[in-house]
Amino acid sequence: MVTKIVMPQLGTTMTEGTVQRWHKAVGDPVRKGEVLLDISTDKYAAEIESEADGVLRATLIQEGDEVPVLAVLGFIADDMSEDIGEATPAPRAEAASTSATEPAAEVKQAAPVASESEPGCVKASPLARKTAKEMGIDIALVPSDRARIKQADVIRYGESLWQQSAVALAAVQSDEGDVEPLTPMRKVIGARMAQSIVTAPQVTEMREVNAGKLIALWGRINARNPDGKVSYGDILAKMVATALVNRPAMNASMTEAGIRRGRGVHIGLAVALTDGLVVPVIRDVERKGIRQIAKESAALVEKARENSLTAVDTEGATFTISNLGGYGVDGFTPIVNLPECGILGLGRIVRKPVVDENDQVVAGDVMTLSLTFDHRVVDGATAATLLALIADYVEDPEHMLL
Amino acid sequence: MSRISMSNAIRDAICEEMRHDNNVFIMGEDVGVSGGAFGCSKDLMQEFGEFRVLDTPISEMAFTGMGVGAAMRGMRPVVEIMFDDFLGVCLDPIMNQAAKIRYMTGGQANVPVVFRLPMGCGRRNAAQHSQCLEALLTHIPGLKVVAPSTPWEAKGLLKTAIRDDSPVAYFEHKLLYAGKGEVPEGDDLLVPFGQAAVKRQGKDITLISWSRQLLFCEDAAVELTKEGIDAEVLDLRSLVPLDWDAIHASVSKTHHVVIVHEGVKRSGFGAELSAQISEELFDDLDAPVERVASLNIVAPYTGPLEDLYFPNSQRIAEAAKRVLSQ
Amino acid sequence: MTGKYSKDFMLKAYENMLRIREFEQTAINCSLKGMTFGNLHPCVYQEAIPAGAVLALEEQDYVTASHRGHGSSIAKGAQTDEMMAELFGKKTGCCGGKGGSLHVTDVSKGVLGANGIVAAGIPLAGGSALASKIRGTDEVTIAFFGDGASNAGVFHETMNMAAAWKLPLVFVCENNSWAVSVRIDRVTNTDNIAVRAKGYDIPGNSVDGNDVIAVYEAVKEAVDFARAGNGPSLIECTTYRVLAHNVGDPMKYRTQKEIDDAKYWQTKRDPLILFRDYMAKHKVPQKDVETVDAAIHEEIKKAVEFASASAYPDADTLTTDVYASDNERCVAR
Repeated sequence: MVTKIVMPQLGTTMTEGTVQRWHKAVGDPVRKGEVLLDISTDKYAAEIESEADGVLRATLIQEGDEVPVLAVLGFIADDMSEDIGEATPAPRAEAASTSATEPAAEVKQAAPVASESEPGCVKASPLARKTAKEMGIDIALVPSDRARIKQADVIRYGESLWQQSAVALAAVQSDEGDVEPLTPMRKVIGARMAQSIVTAPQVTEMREVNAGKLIALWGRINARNPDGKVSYGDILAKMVATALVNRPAMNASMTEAGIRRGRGVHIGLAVALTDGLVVPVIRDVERKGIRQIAKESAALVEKARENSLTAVDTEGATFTISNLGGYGVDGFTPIVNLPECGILGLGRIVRKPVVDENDQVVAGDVMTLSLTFDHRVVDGATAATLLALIADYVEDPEHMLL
Repeated sequence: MSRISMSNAIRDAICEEMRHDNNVFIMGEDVGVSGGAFGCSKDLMQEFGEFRVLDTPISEMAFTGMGVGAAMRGMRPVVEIMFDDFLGVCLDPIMNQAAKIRYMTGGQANVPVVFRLPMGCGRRNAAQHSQCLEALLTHIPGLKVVAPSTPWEAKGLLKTAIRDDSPVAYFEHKLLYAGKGEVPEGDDLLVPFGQAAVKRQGKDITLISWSRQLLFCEDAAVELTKEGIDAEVLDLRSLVPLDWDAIHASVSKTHHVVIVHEGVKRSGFGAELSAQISEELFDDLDAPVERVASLNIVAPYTGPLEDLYFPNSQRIAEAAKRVLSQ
Repeated sequence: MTGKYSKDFMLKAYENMLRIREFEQTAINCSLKGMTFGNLHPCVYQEAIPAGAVLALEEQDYVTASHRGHGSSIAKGAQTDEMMAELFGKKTGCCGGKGGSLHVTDVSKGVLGANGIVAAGIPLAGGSALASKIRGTDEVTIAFFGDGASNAGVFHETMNMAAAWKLPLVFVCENNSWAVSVRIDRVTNTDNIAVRAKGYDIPGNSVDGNDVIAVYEAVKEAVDFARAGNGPSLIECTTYRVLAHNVGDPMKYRTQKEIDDAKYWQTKRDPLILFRDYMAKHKVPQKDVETVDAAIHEEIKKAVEFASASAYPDADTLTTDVYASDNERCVAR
């Protein structure tokens, strides 16, 4: 049974309350009457007690946040596996105003020119279409106050997308210091990332996995591999592809007409360059062995570093993997590469205390997987099941053969 | 440099070529004693005699055909057809003979004849003396078609036409004859065919034209600068052969095009240019290509109506603004 | 016919006619067998006119012809093998296969071309004469045309100008009575064509078109007249179009009388038969005539072999020679 934890109405004039401190963590057992958290209002502070036995299943509001009276702060359930349904954060009492909203308002002044009669059919000049393609922008989203989108509209929209994402920069701008003009690559990356954030609601699920067997597998393959090194990324690509074959819901793209399922699994590998990043694609990964994947990925990385990737090399991915393990990052929130619907971030493998099957604390190898998904295409549970399968393959690679 | 009228520039071209080559002669109605209906052969008869400056009877079909026959014998006739409207009575020698003889004879015979064709409206000469029929002749393979807008180009293009071994339809505009312009000294001024000229550089929109309307485009460009619009004016000068590279360069720069001609809009040469631009420069266009041309009507006689019939700089500027705002 | 011509002259006249006859009849047969393209307008039974008229010309002179133009072209010296190849549409044709029967031309022999537009060759001939006049050279040009063309405006315009300027031009009208399906007397008010010369105040003469000597003499007079700077003449040569307008014309428009007339001209007025009689009367040895027969027969046979063995033009000649210069650019757009 699930019990909501709500902000109580303490006195008739109370309208909001602030969460000050949670006394329990998610997963902790709770007993009826135990203090769960401290709240405060403008008048006074109070303790909120649990109304049921069970575990603290989820907390929705963080310490320091203010919410209206009766807003849901969390859930108590019988155990951690109980389904708590759609858990959405409560509306904030006051809209946090950042200057990010101003350019957005400007952009939304004129509606996109998409025709109502034919969804997905947009009037644009040939030059505007060509420019949108070059800038990686979806022409259907470009607003214009004319009957037909022109090149200037596309450029303006692209620049506004970039501006939105660069707002933080503007906030700390000082009059001193040199201004470095943006390279075309930076502009395109900025526009694409901004467009992704603006159009796709994204959630990242993180999971720590035991990387012991992965390390062993990596060691055995490389000991026997005369052609060249196989990286963790190559092995993870194979694992992800296998997982997507078994859980295909996320091998898909969002299009104007609907969700397009990919026929094969084509994985984009994010490659860092000196001033940006590119994402070359390995096709049909589910059909290739790890050695071939390694060969192809090495070739693509080389081409990327030489700046000789072609359109064929960078188009058609159905899923992307971004590996920041080499930079010491654990979990992070990668941004979905539209029109794909998922991206897996790989963290570092770090030696940490883990609890073994005998409940003993021992040294273990731990890696964090971060799976971001486009919430328009799939929901959290679906993504979580994919993540669980990938985690399973990492912890027990033999399971890929089953 | 000297400042001379277009009719004098044309006359000088004919005179220089007749001195340069005994095979060149001019024939047509009133070209001899009278020096031409528009003064383009003034005083030539005195120098070259009555058979090289040949006054013809009113027999366009036969004298045009005779020009073609003489050209087959290696002469270089300049046949003046007093108004291009008279193409109606002499189209066969031009269309079925001159244009086709080289091909039909498998390259045996050339027809190095120039047909001079005064064209244009605005003179209140009414329907049968006001047409611009260059589009008709661009439709006939085998003919080259040119039309100057200034005196020096009139001279240079005519000299090139006379020296060309193909038959050339040379369209002069009646209302450009009197206008004066700087013409370089010397008898070797040649303006090549198939080479357009950018008469005004600009970055916002390209105005493509020829003959008298080119001057209106230049006026329109001046007006447009007052509204912050920087128009490029491209004078084709030569319709066949066409300077496609110049069109390509301009359109890929400005992405907006207005084509202006005094011939009637329907099936005018602007339609051909517009089709070629949309076929081959589609992705460079930020707006549809527009044409400003005379209406699809019979040219009227009375002044107030005729002025509504053909393009002027105001209509050209309006079209440019319309194209940019689309 | 007079008796003042040499044996060689008579044999030459005969050879010219026979060459035309054999070429045309062979061309008809080839056409019926599908070896030629388009339409053929043969001048069989009318050979005396081009043969006789061209006999009056010098090598430097020029001719233009009508759509029924093989005769004068062959008489003036165009090669029969190249002409047969042209009818076959082969690359070795006098026009590279690009002109065909209607436009056979050989500028090097003074043949300025047959023409597919009725009467269009007349002003072209006028232009050739004008060129001679302006240059002051002594070439004469003959314009060959039919009775139908003599009703076209441009015939009158050209005759007027040639007369006014005394151009070295001779108008030779092949009056075969027929303009396709229309008999001349139904659409013309005069008894003959020659009388029109009076309207332009130039000499006009009407002769028997199937008498090669008569044609020769009348045209010679006109050519000399023109070469002397006296201007044009109109020589009408009366004949009959025994065959149809073109190969394949079923000629449904002829009355029985007209069919009988044609039969009469074919059997009783054949210029070759008439001239064989003339040569016999003037003591030309039969074996000399037979030598010509054999030589011409062989020549035309070889012409067909040559045409048959030749190749069609290469595809890349499709777009060549449209313009004398800058051809590629002027064709491209």
